[in-house]
Amino acid sequence: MAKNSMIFKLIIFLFLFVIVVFTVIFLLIVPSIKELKATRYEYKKVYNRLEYANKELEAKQKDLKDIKHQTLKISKAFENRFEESDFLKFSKKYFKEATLKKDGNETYKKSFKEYKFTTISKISDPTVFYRFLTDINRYDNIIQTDFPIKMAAYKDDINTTFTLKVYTLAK
Amino acid sequence: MKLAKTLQKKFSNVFVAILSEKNEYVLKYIVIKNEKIKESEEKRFSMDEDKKLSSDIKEFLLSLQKGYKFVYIVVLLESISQNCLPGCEKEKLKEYGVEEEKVYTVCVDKKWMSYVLKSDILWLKSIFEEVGLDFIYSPFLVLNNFIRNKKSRNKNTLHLLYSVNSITLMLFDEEKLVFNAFFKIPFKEFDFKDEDEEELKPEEDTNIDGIELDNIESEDEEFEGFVDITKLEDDDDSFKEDEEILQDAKEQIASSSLEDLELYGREVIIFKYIKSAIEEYYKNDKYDSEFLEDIIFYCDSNISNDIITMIENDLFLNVEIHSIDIKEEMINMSIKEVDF
Amino acid sequence: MRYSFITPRKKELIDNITKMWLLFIGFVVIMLFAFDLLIKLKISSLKNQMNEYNSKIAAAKSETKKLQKKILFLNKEKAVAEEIYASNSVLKDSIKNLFDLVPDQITLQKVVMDKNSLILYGITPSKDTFNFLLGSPLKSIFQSSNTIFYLGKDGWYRFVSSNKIVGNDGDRL
Repeated sequence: MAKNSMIFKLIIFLFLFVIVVFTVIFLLIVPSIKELKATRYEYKKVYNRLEYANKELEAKQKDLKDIKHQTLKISKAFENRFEESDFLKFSKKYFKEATLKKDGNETYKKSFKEYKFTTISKISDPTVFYRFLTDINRYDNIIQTDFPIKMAAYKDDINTTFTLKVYTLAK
Repeated sequence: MKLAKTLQKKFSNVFVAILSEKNEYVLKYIVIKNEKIKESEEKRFSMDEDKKLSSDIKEFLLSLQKGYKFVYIVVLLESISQNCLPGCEKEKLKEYGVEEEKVYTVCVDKKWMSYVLKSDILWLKSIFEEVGLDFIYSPFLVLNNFIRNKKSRNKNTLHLLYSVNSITLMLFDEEKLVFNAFFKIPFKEFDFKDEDEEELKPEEDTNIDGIELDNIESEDEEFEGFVDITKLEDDDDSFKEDEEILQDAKEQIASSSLEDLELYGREVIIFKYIKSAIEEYYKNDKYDSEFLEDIIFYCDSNISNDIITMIENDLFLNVEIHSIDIKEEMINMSIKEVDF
Repeated sequence: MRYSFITPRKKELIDNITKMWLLFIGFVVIMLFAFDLLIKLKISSLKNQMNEYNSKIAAAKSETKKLQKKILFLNKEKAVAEEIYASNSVLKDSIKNLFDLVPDQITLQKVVMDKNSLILYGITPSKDTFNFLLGSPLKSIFQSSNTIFYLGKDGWYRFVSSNKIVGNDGDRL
């Protein structure tokens, strides 16, 4: 009799065990695992997006580096303040005399400021002017020589008047 | 702990009180659930030789314990090694010459204690080995519980628990225990053809070394006023014609008288025990005795008027009878002990 | 209240086997819950990472946009500068071409150059010399070309040549 009840108890508890374990697994574990799978999938996607964004960023950084490398001098030239004294020193290499007259300024192409100057100078011969025009491209500022250009012979020199446009970054 | 008890109350709890009578076990059990009594029943079972549990009582108790989770089996211990001492300190045992390691004690009201030989407890436990045993009560404690009227706890009022097997005597001075005695009343199967009467004496003590007993040693008893039926029959010659009628009548008288005589014989013993106990009480200097005026009987079984008359007349005591049920009280005590 | 000589047996509501089974089942359930908790923690950590990644993506994207702006700007700067350099160079070439055009016989005294016009003041030995040597090239270059001659004391002619390019191109020579 006791053996019977023991077996009965064993069966009942085994049954209870199986039911409880399966219930917990189906109600709790399985949904959790599903969610884990879904999250992992999303995670992979996001991770890939991150990788992609980083790669793009890297590429852009490289591009920027390259461009910076190329335009270093020019960038600097736009950033530099235009010092009239320095310029006059420079022009002394070409002109016997030179003076600058401010002519106002305006915004150029949204990002730049254009300072107009009228330059009055004395040169010995036109070739000087050629050299000036060549070398001004290598000057510390971005300067455009523009019309109107007047040259008048006076004694041994040529009085040259021309417009200078200095370009800097519009802060 | 408290929580466990509260929880346990919600289930069915069974309290089984077992008394041994002549050659039977009398059993009363109640089923309590949520402090309500659901079932209550009394049963009798025959006893095996050596007072062992017969198979039907064993089966009953085992199946009861199979059916219920919480079963308490309570037994009244009627061993004569039982006694009481004033005070509860273990040193008191030594004072009265009782070996501490050989007894179990129960303290009552922190004023007196009851003790019994460990061997008697073990003996009882071994009888109930197969079914289990939860509480063993001394009749002294049961009697103490029956005494409800505080005023009766005085040195003039003797309390007596009267059960089928034994009588228990206690005398109080308020909460202090002044005097106590316990007697087992033997049963003798009376064969009226046998003219030799055996000496009736209280059960022999075993394994007791140097314990002073308050109950009296056995004496050879003669039964005064005892009528010999057989002699009666022989003396009567004149009724030969109606012999058959007489024979029937005699047998009728014989059978009813047998019970009466047996009862009468036992009551005489009881009376003698009571008397000797009281004498001991008066005689012994140990007891600062006053005269007893009243005796209150707490009777679990029938008591004849004869003994009442005997006591009233011979001992000059006022007799008060309370009818009680020991098993019921045992159950109440066990409920209290479990703390329900 | 204590009445008994002995203490009662221990009563059990649940027997040992049941207790063990319940403990076992409880243990397994707790383990399952713990496992589930692990999974949920993993999910939460992944989600956190994803959030982090998303913000990183946003940062990278915005940074990329910034860089792109910078690149465009640098390109613009380059274009502007190169345009200016080119114009300077072209200007130089124009002037050089002009002066090369002028033969030895003719002396220029004044030159006024503008976007679309060129006015020359000078001395020429003869009209023909001018017209032939300077006038016709000028005529071919400029749409309108007019020359006035003044006879000078020394027999040389003073001239004023006014040349215009009509139209909006502002083409240089």
